[in-house]
Amino acid sequence: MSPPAQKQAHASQSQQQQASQSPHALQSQHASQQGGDIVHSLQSFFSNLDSPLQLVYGLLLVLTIVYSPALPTDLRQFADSFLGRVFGVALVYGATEAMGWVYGLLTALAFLLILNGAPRYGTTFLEGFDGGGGVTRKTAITHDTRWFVEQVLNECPSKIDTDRVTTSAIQD
Amino acid sequence: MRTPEWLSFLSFDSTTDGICRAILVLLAALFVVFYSSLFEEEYSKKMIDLYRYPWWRLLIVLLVISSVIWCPRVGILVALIMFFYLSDMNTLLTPLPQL
Repeated sequence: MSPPAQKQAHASQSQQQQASQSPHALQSQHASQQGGDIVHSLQSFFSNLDSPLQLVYGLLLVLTIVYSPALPTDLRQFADSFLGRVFGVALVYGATEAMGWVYGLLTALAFLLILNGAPRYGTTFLEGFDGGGGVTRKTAITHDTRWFVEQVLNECPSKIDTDRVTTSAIQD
Repeated sequence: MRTPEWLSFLSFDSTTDGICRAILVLLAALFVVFYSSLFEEEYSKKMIDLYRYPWWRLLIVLLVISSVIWCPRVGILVALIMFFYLSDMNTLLTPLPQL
């Protein structure tokens, strides 16, 4: 018998064997194959996961980004200082080098969101303001000492004080 | 013709996946230029209302992570859009004396 004829005979024999099997046996075989696939995919999923430390760090980053509006102002002020910025940039660089650029991107996102909410001004600041008339300079007074009502109602109003006023006589 | 080395990271495949990536990169870049980077552009009311809910912000971060895993170029642009959205909303919802 020639090789193609042998192959044909073998294929027809296997088809007959498959047809002779009961449908129930075929279903169970199919189900066990699916279960094996699921187990195999789960195994590959868990084997490709990052290390637990990286996952915990990623979870902390996600929580920092999600709850960034609720972060305290002191932390934001520290992030906006020279030391905080250096620390932040070093953290982004370190995360990128150690854990890959995805963690670096998330770290940068979290750091920028913390930095973005920092108060822009210190306790006292001068506006570049010239009224052109009487008022030549304004000083904003922030809430160093708060009134009792302000403390009770948790209000932090900013006042503006003019410390230099120039006047001129009325001329006919 | 050989593609220059500095352009290789910008090239996309001619498959459906590559075309989808290229279209999304284009759309995201246009969105950043004409919408996100302009503070004066108003977000839709749904986006403003949803910002208050933490699960919405969590979904946004998950979208960034999934897009980064799918395609780095798309992920970076999506992260940029999300950063503008989160920072703008945070700034707009902060009381004026605390800015």
